[in-house]
Amino acid sequence: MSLILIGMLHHRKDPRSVQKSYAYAAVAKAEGAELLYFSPKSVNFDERKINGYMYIDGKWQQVESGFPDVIYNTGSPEKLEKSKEIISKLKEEVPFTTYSIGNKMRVQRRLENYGEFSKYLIPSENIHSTRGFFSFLRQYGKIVFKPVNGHKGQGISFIESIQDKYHVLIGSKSYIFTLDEMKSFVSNNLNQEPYLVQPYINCKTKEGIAYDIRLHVQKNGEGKWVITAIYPRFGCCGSIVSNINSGGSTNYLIPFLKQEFGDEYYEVKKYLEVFSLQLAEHMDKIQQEKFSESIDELGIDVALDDMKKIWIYEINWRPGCPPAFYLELDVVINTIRYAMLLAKEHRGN
Amino acid sequence: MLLNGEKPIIAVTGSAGKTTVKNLVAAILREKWVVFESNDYNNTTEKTKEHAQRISFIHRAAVVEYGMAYPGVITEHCNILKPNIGIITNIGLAHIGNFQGSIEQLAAGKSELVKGVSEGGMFFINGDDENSKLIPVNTFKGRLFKVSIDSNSDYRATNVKYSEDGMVFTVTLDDKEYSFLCPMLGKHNVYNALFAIAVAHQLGFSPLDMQKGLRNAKTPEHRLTIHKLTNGIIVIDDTVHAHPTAMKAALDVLEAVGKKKKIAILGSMPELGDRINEYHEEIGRYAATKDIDFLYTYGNVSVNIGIGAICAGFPINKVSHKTPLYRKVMHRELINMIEPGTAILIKGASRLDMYETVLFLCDYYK
Repeated sequence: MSLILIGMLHHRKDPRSVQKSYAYAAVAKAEGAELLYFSPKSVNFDERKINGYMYIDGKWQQVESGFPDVIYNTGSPEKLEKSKEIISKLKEEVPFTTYSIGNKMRVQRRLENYGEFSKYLIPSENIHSTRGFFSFLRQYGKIVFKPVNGHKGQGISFIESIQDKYHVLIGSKSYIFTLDEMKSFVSNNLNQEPYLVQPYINCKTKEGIAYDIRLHVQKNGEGKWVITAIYPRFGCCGSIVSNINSGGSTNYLIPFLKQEFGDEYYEVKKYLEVFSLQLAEHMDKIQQEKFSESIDELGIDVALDDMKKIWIYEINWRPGCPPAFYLELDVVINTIRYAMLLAKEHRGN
Repeated sequence: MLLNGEKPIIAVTGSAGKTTVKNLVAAILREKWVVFESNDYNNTTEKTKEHAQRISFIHRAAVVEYGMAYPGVITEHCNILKPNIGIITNIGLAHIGNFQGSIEQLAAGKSELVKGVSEGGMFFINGDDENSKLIPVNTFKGRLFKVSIDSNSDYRATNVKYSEDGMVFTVTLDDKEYSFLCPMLGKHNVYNALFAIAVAHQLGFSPLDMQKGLRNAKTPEHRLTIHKLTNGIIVIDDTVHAHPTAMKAALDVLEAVGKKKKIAILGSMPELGDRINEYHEEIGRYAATKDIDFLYTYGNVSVNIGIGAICAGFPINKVSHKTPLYRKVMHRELINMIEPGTAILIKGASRLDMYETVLFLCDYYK
């Protein structure tokens, strides 16, 4: 039987502009498969050919290839949206590794309806008007305001009532708004895209630095959920958004947990691990029941409150690579092996 | 274990300051926790039913206000939502008309909270308030704490000072002194802040949390709100409630904040039972002890405040009584009387619409 050919679908035409492509090509080879990098426009359905790239003899070379056995679909969903037709036609023939779980609000409502994990969800509300915003703020005093479709921490702000004014943190910048300024900030944002609000969970280190914890889970070569990485992320200069892409920093998990929780660090670590795997399985089950699709990877952002209870901020289905010191290629190995598993299952059918 | 490991449900009752204490407790607890807080003045049993429904797993604590217009109401509140922390701010004369005009009956009504708080819970009372001594705290099966300024207690404020930003005072916590600013004026607000500090301290909050929480607290509108106008003219807007205790507190603030000429406009106080005239006269006598230049009384019964003041030696030509029909006349007189640096206190129940006078002055001297 021929080697498994894994397609890596990205919105960019040239793999040299996609840094992670090399790692995927290398690991595919090491695992006994081949990798074809391509963008939607290079697919020719009439001739069933793809004009893509393969990494051969130390460089990316243009090749004409048949359809791959499995497609690792990556790149920006918004940019790929333009090629929706090509992608859905491909999906009919070739298994894809990754499926969208929907925007933040949909995920939230689905989990609420299933119930099992609802007690870990931070209540979220869609905001349609400044009135709705202020009513939520009055109720909780400190809230998070963020785009429903946002990712990588963009557009998130933290708002706190201070007497008759408002303290607003956007990224690492801090502002004091009057009522009118607050109103126009909210309505300007609402005019651009849908937003949601959540009560702010106080998750701070002993030294008072805001942090959250990213639980990164993936399916491995046997289709089982495994933990790729769990790591704390710290807000920069009082910012609540602790996403790395917005300028936060990370730290190794165990020294961090030891510092914050002392002797209890091991229980906290176990709690985070068990929680990650159980939630991933639950999400996968829901995706199967609702859409007959499988999820391959999740990045779950959680807070720990002063009782060490987990609270879910959001669940991302394209979590991005963990920071550099975790780069032992685990993420890539899991993806490649899982893709190979899907390819084998597909051939078997 | 603290409160048997249960979620803190904090119920606040008392004659005056319920809403403020509720706000301040919530403001501090919010430094660390997600807190359920009942809306201001939503303190009927119907509302408590709603609150009991709305308190959910996300809330690490709840702070609610229990109103009591009649005997038995507090028990009813506690049956709907059982608190494990109780606060009685003070026992004054609000609603005394519904308690056969008897302070003992009224105290008994408030004391229903003592029975209503769960065993092993906590109870907080005002150690300086004479009427609060009528609360049968010895029957309480939990831990009792007192707050005070004038007497010794668990949480005592010292170095109490008025500042432009509010009340400044010192409290000793775990053998260390900490300075606090409560962004509201009046000695009564020091008691209100002390309750919040005491509860937060018992729940393990740090002095820094308390300082920040108090400083950020939302200040209620028309509650001794200071409007700084042109030429150093100051208007003190206190146009929501009018109980004898609050009246005296407002006069204290006028005396402390006013630097030059001081004018008090005091409205009539509703719901005081048979002794209504006496209570008004008493306010007049109190006003006479204050360094005040002119006294207006506003609304029918308030005429007795003037009588009390004059009997206590306040100059008769410095007192004027007005009914709401003569509001505009009073406004004209005020303009003639006000000089640069004058401080004007406007105090009365919301039904008298005395805020109209605040608006008039703010507009005239903007």
